[in-house]
Amino acid sequence: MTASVLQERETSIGGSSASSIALAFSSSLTSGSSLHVGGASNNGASSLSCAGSRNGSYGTALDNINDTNGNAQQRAAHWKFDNSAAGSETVTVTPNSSNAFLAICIREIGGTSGYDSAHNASNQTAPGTGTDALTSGNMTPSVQPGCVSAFSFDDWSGSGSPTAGTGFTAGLVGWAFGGGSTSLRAEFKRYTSTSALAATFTAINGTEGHITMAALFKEASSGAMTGSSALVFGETGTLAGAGAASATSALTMGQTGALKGAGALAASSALQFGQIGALAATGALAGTSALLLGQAGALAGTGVLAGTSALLIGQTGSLAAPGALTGTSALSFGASGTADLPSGAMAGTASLTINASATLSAFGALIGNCQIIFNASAAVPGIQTLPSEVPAGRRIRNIYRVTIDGQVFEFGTLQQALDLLEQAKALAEKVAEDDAIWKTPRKPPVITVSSRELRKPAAQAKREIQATYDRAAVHAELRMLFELSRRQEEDDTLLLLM
Amino acid sequence: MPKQFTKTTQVTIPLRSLTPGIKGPFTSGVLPSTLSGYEIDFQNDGTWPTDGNDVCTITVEQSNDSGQTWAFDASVTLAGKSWTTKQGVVINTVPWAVGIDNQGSTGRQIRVSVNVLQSCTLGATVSSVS
Repeated sequence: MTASVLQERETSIGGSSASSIALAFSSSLTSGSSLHVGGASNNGASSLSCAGSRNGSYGTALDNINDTNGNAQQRAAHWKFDNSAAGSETVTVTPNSSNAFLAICIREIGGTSGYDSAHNASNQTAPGTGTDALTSGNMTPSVQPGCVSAFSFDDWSGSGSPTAGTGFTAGLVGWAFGGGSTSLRAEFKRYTSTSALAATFTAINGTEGHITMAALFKEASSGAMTGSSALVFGETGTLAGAGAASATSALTMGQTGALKGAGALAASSALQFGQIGALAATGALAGTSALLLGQAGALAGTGVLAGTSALLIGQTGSLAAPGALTGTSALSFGASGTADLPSGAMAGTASLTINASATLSAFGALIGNCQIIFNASAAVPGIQTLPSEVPAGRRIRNIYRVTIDGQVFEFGTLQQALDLLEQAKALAEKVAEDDAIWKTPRKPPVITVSSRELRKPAAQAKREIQATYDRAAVHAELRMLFELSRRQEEDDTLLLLM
Repeated sequence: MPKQFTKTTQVTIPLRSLTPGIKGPFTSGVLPSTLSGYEIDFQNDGTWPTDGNDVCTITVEQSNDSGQTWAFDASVTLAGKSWTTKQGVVINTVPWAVGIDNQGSTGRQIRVSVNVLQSCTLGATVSSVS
């Protein structure tokens, strides 16, 4: 965005002493704008201060000029304020003691990344009416492009506002101070060189004193990337902006590259970050995205990766995002890569490949078809396996052990162990049917198990076997009593016959 | 403010004694869409306080919807010192001029309030400038 004056206003009062003068910008300020303010008073005041209703103090004046010429007796100063907040702003200039001929001129400069640490001011007595005879004096920009914002006014009798200097864009006129004519001219100029330059004006009345004040502002580089964009950043490349990259974008960041922005990457995006690449954004990656993050790459964002996403995160890469990965996502982590989705969700079709000592820790949900591949000593903490019929995998194996009268039986599944307990109960029933066995009392088998899941079934089996044995013992006793009774009857009959 | 301008009186506040407190607002009618600014010419009767303390704060609000909503526009706080020219000649009239940078409004009005901080005699003429 090109630097420019977005709005400007002025006000002045004549011979009544005033303790302050205030003026509001007509329109709300744009966030990030710089403000340039000029102020003046009778030089009975030794200093002037400036503050905004929204932005607060504008700090120390860039320049403080005192014209002690008998016809003037005027003091003037100018201030800058960078990175303004958005919204309404009223600017107040206050002399350290109330004085007459108070004035203020306010300018909002947009498309700037701030003041360029360069300013100047001059007090010229009888400058003449030659072109560009009024000058602030040289200022040297540190970068380009940039812009000059300047004020110049006839501080004697106000015979008329100067005209803008050669190559400068004329701004407002003002500061009549109660006279019939204005005395102030504001101007602006964009430059594309770091050579020293001055703000110049041409006086209307060359015999009267003039005060000129100027400051340099850097032009901002953020904006919107539309259409097809190919950006290559160097070793410490950074893209920081609340903008949008639409259509096809290819961004290559250097060793410490970073993409920070509360914006959106729409359509097809290919992002390659360097060794410490990072994508930290409260935004959305829509469409088809290919993200390649370097050795310490990280994807940390409260956002959404929709559509088809291919994410390749390097050796110590991490995915930490309370967001959502929808659609088809392929995530590949490096040697010690981590994927931590504390409150997120991976829906749709997801493929995760984690290598070496990588870790997958997730307290979220993996929904849909997920293929998770671990290599080497990769670990999966935080995933519970249910005590179901799912066969143990290569690395996780449960052994179910049942011991009956000292004989150990081991099984790979719970059901197999339960089947054995059923067999034990069935055997107890068979044993109970064999009369010969019950000639002597028998104890039920001693059954012990290794797993918590088997305790209840084992206790139930023991109870049932005990019951079976008890019934069998009772039956055996009854049969014995019946036999004894029968024999007694036989003996009694023989005695009778004798 | 343009070098040459035309002033048109919109509101007249007669010269009178004022006691502490807020006076007004004194509201103009709809101003010309070609407005480039407004001017308030203050008048005193030579009895203006000279104790150096603040005497009154004049606040101007602006509306661009024919008076339905108002927003702060400008203010000045007059102090207790004699009004003079730059050459020190005592005067009883002082102008306060405010520039406008958003011409074209067809529902623009201004209203003036005076917060009197100490008793004084003051009058004012509010004029549009185009």
